[in-house]
Amino acid sequence: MSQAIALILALIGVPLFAVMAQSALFGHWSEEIDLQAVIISFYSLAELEFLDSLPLFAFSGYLLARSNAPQRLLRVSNVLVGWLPGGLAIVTIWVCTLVTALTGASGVTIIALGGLLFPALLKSGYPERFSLGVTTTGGSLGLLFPPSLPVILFGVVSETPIEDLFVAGILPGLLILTLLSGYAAFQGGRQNVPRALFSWRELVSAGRGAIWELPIPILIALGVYSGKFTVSEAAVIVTTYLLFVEVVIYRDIQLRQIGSVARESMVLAGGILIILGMTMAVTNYIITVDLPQRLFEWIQPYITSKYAFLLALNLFLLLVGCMIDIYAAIALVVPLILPIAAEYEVDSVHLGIIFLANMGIGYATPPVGLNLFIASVRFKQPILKIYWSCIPFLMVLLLALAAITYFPPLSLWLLSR
Amino acid sequence: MREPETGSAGDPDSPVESHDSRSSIVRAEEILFGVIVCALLVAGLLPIVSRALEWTAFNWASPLSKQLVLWIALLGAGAATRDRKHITIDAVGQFVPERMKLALRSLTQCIAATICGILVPVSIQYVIGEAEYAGDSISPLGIPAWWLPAIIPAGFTLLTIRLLVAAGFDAKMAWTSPQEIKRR
Repeated sequence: MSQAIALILALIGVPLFAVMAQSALFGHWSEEIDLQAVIISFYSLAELEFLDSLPLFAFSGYLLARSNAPQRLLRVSNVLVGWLPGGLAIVTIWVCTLVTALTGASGVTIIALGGLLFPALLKSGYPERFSLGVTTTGGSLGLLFPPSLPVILFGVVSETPIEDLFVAGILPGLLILTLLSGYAAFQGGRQNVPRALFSWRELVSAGRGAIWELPIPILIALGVYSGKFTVSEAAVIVTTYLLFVEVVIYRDIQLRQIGSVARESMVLAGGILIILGMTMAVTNYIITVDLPQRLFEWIQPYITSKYAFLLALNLFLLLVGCMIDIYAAIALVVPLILPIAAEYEVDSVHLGIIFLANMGIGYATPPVGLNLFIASVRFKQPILKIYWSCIPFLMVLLLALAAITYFPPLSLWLLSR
Repeated sequence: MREPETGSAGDPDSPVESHDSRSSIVRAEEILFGVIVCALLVAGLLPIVSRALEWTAFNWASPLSKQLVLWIALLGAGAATRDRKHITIDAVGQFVPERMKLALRSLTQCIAATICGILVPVSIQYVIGEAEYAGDSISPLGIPAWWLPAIIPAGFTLLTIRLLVAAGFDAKMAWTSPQEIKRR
């Protein structure tokens, strides 16, 4: 009953935090648990470790998106790899990955960079369909690399160490990038797209232009991977550095614009956090009524092995990924599938990587993947053309997903598990 | 399914209370969120610097960061209400005409306001309970411990009001003829 009401409310567009609050209130009430338990769970938002990194990384992402940093980084990567076959397409893939990791997915990349990259690809001689496909799928790459907000949220919700998730994401993330770059190089060669010339002078000039921003990815990687800092400390250091660079050195952002960037990013962070708070209340209820165990007993006769479970999980998550926003999906789905995955002996870190890889692909999956609509608006192209353009890239991504899912060492080897 | 952060991709033309981004509420929020971000940075930097320089520890820094997360959840959600940027699934809204969409959004905001409204007395009870239980104990932030959760009823009250205002505004826009909307 409660689930049916929640489903109807969600489908007609009631904000998800309210849907979750309704489920929590109704669930607690029907189990005769004091409703104050909902507030106690919600208040534990103020007790979770590392959660303060989420608003800070959201802020630094918006700061970066408002500055000219994406363009400067684009120029540097264009000199570095633009001369390869499929060079500009490979640049697109790598820069989109970087910007998505920094800005936390959800279309910002397509909006910030798409308008620059799509015409540049066309001008360089890439076919329109290929150019649309690479810029649209580019918008959801990079979800596995630090400081990706979805990874942080997954870590908080599943109580998995965030640093472990970031380390585990390195090889799967690189696999996705390598496969897509290989495909881009192959297409660039096949279509005889003219290759750019490498120029030392341009390298020095572009490098000098972005000299203060080039250390940012290194700073983040060092902060997160070295273990010397916590994720929260890395967020503080990166945000402070970025503020200094964009406001004082490049002056892309005026001091009086900080408030507006802060507000914009706190709208995103607040929207995510309030759902997370309500999720904790719902999780409290579903653990009380043992819902994951009941679900497990229900699927157990049909899904008997770990690999059958992983296949079912992939199909389910792809569907979720193209229907629901990634942050909401983590808050809604992870508490349910985590105990079930444990029954099938799936490592929680591996589950995280599978989950996020699926979500990333879901963004560009027809008919309702979010990035498809954003690209359609941004590039002023019919949605069907966008669907069609993404299909070859989706095939490559699904290949990577299969490797990530069915070959756990790819995620776990660096953690020596 | 709505993206939480990309204005130009979602519903750029959908009316909100005011197109004037410098309106006083937005301006106040900009200052407030700017201060919160700065406080997060200071509370985060001080322990790092003090560790490096072997200063005394700042006991209040970590609890402050954690409390600010709660503030961001509640106040950020309030701002998201004004911007119509709450995370929703919204399978129906995409397939109905503009005025119907506004009417539906008004309805969903009323429902959300009702749910938030229920949370207000529940959270007030919780804070009263905390005040009785914790008594005069002082939090690491130097204020009575029960003051800290008081942001929850305050936040939900504010959220309820903002949802109702948004619902009222959307209902009014749904009532207004398309020509009238254009003229404005």
